[in-house]
Amino acid sequence: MERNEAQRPFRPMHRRKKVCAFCTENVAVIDYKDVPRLRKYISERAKILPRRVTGTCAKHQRELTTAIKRARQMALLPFVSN
Amino acid sequence: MEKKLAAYETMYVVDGTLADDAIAAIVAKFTALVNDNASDVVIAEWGKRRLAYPINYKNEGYYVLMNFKSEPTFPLELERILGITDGIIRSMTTRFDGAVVTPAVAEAAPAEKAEAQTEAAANSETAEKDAE
Repeated sequence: MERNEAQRPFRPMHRRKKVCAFCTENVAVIDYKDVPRLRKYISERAKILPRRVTGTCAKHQRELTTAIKRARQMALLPFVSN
Repeated sequence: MEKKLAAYETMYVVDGTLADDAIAAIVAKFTALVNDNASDVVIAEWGKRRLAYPINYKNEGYYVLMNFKSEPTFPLELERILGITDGIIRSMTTRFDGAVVTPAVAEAAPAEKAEAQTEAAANSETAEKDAE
């Protein structure tokens, strides 16, 4: 990082662009039963993480929220924790 | 195949505090019901799992997953019967277009979870780097 800044002094702070994990993995359906995967997209307090944190694309974020909400109904994921 | 069939997936949770034979009786009842009214039935029993939050002061549930193809009227009837059966604490039916996934989620969970945690850790590290 520092080397790059030295080479290009006028560049503003570089942020690596996050890419949607579901697009790169070619996930066809975001399944409400896939608890280990869904767990990565909820916070400590069991809230759904925003797109700006996870880098998920809009399409997959929509599917993800339905999947998480379904999993919550079936008591696979918590609504709140602690 | 005289009428148009759609693929559905029903998951229901039986009260985990019931005796094993009582749970088996409920599962057998719905297995028979689905076998009579639907085709291409695949039933997977996840077994007892800890609930993510207590339901009626109970912490354990017996999860059963049923994939089947039927006419659109059958899921309604199935949901109605699930709703009035004692010992069923949750149930949900969804349209299911994907291929039937072998739901070894319950068994594979510990290994996958560990993997997920390491991945999540890696992700948060990169996120921290990005934030700098």
